[in-house]
This record gives sequence, structure tokens and C-alpha cells, in this order.
Amino acid sequence: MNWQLCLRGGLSKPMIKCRSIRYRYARRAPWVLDQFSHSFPAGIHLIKGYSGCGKSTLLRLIGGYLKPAEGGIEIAGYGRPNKRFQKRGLGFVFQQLNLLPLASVRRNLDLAAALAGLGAGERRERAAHILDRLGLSEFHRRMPKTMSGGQQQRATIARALIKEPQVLLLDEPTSGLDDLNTNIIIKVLREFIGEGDRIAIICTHDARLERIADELLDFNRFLPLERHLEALA
Amino acid sequence: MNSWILTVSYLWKDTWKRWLEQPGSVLARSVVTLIMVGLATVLLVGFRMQVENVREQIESFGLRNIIIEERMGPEVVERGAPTDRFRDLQQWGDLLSGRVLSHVARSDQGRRARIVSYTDADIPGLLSYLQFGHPVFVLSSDLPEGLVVDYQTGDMSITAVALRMEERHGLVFSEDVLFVPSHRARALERRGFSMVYFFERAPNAPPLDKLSASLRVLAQAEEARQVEVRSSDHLLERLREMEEQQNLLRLWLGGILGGALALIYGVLSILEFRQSLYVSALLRSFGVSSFFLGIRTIFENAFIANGVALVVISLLQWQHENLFAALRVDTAADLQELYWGTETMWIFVAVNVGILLSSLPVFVALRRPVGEILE
Repeated sequence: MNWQLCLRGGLSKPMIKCRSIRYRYARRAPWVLDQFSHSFPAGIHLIKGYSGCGKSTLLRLIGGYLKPAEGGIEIAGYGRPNKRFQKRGLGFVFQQLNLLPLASVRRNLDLAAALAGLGAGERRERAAHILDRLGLSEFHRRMPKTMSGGQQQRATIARALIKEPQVLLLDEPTSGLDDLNTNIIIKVLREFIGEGDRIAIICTHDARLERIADELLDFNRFLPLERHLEALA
Repeated sequence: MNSWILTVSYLWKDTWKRWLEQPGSVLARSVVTLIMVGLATVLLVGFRMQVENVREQIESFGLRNIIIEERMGPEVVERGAPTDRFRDLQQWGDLLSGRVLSHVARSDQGRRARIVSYTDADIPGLLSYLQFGHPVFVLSSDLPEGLVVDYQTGDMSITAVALRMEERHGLVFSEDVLFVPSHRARALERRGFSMVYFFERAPNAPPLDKLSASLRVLAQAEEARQVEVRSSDHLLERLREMEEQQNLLRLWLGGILGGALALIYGVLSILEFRQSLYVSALLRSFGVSSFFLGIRTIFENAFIANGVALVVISLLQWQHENLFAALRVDTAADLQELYWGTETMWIFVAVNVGILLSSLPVFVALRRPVGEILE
């Protein structure tokens, strides 16, 4: 499979390297990713494509939540994705609203930050800042089930950002969100990436996010013809 | 608060919520533990009590004594058969012998005494009592020494002087014993008696087990007579057998208890783990180790199982008298030692090994990649 990308410029040195990755979910299932090689430098990378084209799988592989059948992934400063990377260097926003259901928003942030090794004072300071940036200051004591989908999504992003990770992976972060919520997220992502040599990889169908991307990866280009026909049917 | 405390506190909250939402699961685990531990405790403690009982018998019997009791029926007495074929024992130690008659005597105050007649051959063994010059005497542990007591048996009156029974002879006689020379009790002897020998082995004598084995062979020589040979070596052998059975019982009960708990807790744990699969995966995605999350299952099950086991054993100890009275087992034992000694240790070892085994499926399930669970 050949992979192509569309560069918009502004990218710095590579931080994530994917080398000839192959992955499939079951032994006899078709490869979801087949010989995928790519380098992700600092900046915002947007991955587009039909459902099932392997976007989310790629994020899970980079996050270390799946292991490639073949090939390898290298993260600058960590080597292969490992526990240390997951604790300190990675912020991951899953497609579904994955907040701990029995913890308040603040406690959700606290737990992720504590696992990243942040002290109580720093956690408090960062939580106040990030919740304020995402318009959730008033919701820090709220339990997830008492919040709307948009608020929960912003809380999930806050939890990923509180440890100021080197790599931020977002799987459909704005799906189902209105323009107001989407704009808040876009603004925060821009600020986050602008603060240093950080990398954000976003899988999305949302065209509104394209304007902040430094690189656009279109996975549809590499799908076989029958998948295009399926998608159009 | 550090990450460890935050994680544990969240897991506790998650567990508590699950218990409140599904009390049946906790109840099922508790009931299974209650039944299994209760049964194992009663069996092991009951068996331990029997072993302790034998041990006490050995202690009170002494390690160098033999008691022989040979029943002589009226027909044996009638035909004048030899009635002291075990007397040769006296060459190996002290021998107290006498004919325990089937009659009992009663004093004027209604005090009961077993009647024992003695011949000239029995005198050497009775010298410690006969030295006071009273051929008719009553041995007692509580009558004042020198007290003259009048006894009546049938139409016969006997006047005896009370003497203090030596402690060692208490093994043979559990009540007052009225010693009468044989020639004064002929009429009573004709109705049959038991020839009793109490033998205390001398240090240079053959070993007790060899002596008692020879005595048993001798006892079987004349089948018509009923002979009972009691010695501590017999009890020691019985104790050894019981201790072997006790170890076997511990192993089997421990295996059954641990196996049953492993099976039932294992099935319930994996069902419950499926409910917390999402939370576990989410915590793993933050970097919490799978091992740490697996330990949570062990702690949860160990908390329930050990808690229930402690309560069950405490309740059984509390209800010990009633329970073992119902089972007709003697309860004169140190309850603390019985319930919180070796038997309990075996039970707790079996319970906790079962719990460890039950958590294996959870550890296997925790190997599933986070990326296949969270979406």
C-alpha cells in the first residue's frame, strides 16, 4: 500500500516514526494497516477517511494500546510506546466519552495528572487553568453523568491536556459537537501546540478542524476501489 | 494525595458501588465460604478433639503402666481354674492385683464401695496399705484416714478402716474400694469376679510394647476368658494412626475447600470483572499496571473470604459447647487453641490459595489490549 500525504508546511523535526506497521484484529481478518510508514513531526496532523480505514487503529498503535503485528513505532524520548509514555508523555482522547463515571471532573483530571507524577499544587493550578480555557470552571465538582455530551467531551480533552503531554492523540474529538464547543476545542488545541515541540494527531470526519492542521493525511486515497463503492452506496 | 491513593480510592468506590448494585454476588461468595469453612472447621476441630482426648489418656495413664482385667465367670471359679496366670509380671516391676467382685458394698451413710478380695499371693502388692495392720480396709481419696466404716453387702457386714488411695492406683479404681481377704469373701467370689492387675514397669524390664504384646498373646491362649490388656503403647499406636488420619484429613479438606472456593470465586470474579472491564481499561490507558488492577480482585475476594471465615470460626467457637454436645463429643478442651491453632491455619491457607487461584482468569483477561476495549 502506498501512503501519500499533503503537507501544509510549518512542521519541525520528526517526533513519531512509524515503520512498515501491519495490524489486523484477528488472525484471519484483513490487514487494517498494511506496511504503513510515516513520520509525524511536531504540529497538528489530521487524518481523514471512511470508517474502518484504520485511522483509530493507528492512534491506538501510537498510544501503545495495541501492538503492531509487524513493524515498529518510535517516540522521541521514549522509544517504543510504553507505560512511562502513557503516564507522562501521552494524552489520548477516545472516540467515546471515557470519563471515570464515579469521579468528579476535577478528580478525573487529578488522577491522570497524579499518574503523570505531578504534585498536588501543580495539579490544582493546571486543572484550574485548563478547565477555565475549556469553559468548565463551574463544572469541576460535577459528576460525568450530570453533564451534557459537549461538556463531557471538553472534560475528556482537559484530562488529556492537564499533564501537558508531548503527544496528543484525539479520536473524533468534535463528533456531534456544535460550533461553539468545536471552536473552544480548536482554540485550546492551537494554544497547546503553540506552546512547544508538541504533536497532535487527530482522526476526524469534521471538516471544521482542517483549518488548524499542519498536515492532512487522507486515508481514503489508499483504500481499494470496492471500499469506495461501499462507502458511496 | 499521590496517584496510588487516588487509584485505590477510586477502585474502592467502584467496588463498593458494584457490591451495592449487586449484593447477590457478595452474598453468594459469603454463603459458599460460610458453608465450606464451617464444615471444614467442625470436622477438623472435632478430629483434633479426639486426638487431644487420646493424648490426655496417655498422659494420665503414664508411659510405663499396664492394666490387665480378666473376667472369671462362675463356671471358671467352680472348676477351680488358675486365676492368676499373669502374676509372673511381678518379676519386671510392681504389681497390684486383686479380685474385683461383682458386688458392691454400701456404708451406713449410703456410701458405695467396690469390693476387692485378695489372696496371699496378692499381699506383696498391697504391702503399702497392709503395713498399717488392718486386713480389711477401704481405699478412698476423700474419707479421713483411720476412720472406721461399716459396710453391708447382701447379708454380710464388713467393718473397714479408711486409708488414703495412692494416686497411681486411681487409674484402676475410680471409686472407693473395699479390700477384704479372700477367705472372708468366698461366697461372693463364687458368683464370678474380674482379676485385675496393675503393673508398673521397672527400668530394667523389657520394653513396654514387648511386654504388652506378650500379654496379649497369652490372653488369647484361652479364648473362653475375656481379657482386656490396656497399656500406653496401645494408645500411642492409636495416637500415631489418628495423627496420620488428621494430616490426611487436613490435606483433603484443604484441597476441597481451596478448590471449591477457587472455582466459585473464579467464575464470579470473571463475571464481575466484565462489568469493570471498561474502568480497568481506562485506568490502564493512564498507565496503571494490569498487575495492580489484578491485585484488586485478589484483595476484594480475600477481604470477603477471610472476613467470613473469621466470623464463622468465631461463631463456632462461641457455640462450641452446644454444637459438640449435639455431636456427643467431649468438649473439655482449650477452645482458643482448638479454634485458632493449627486447624484454623490450614483453613486460612486453603482459603487464600483458593482465592489466588480464582484470580488467575482475571489476570489472563487483563492481558487483553486496552485498544480493543476502549473506543
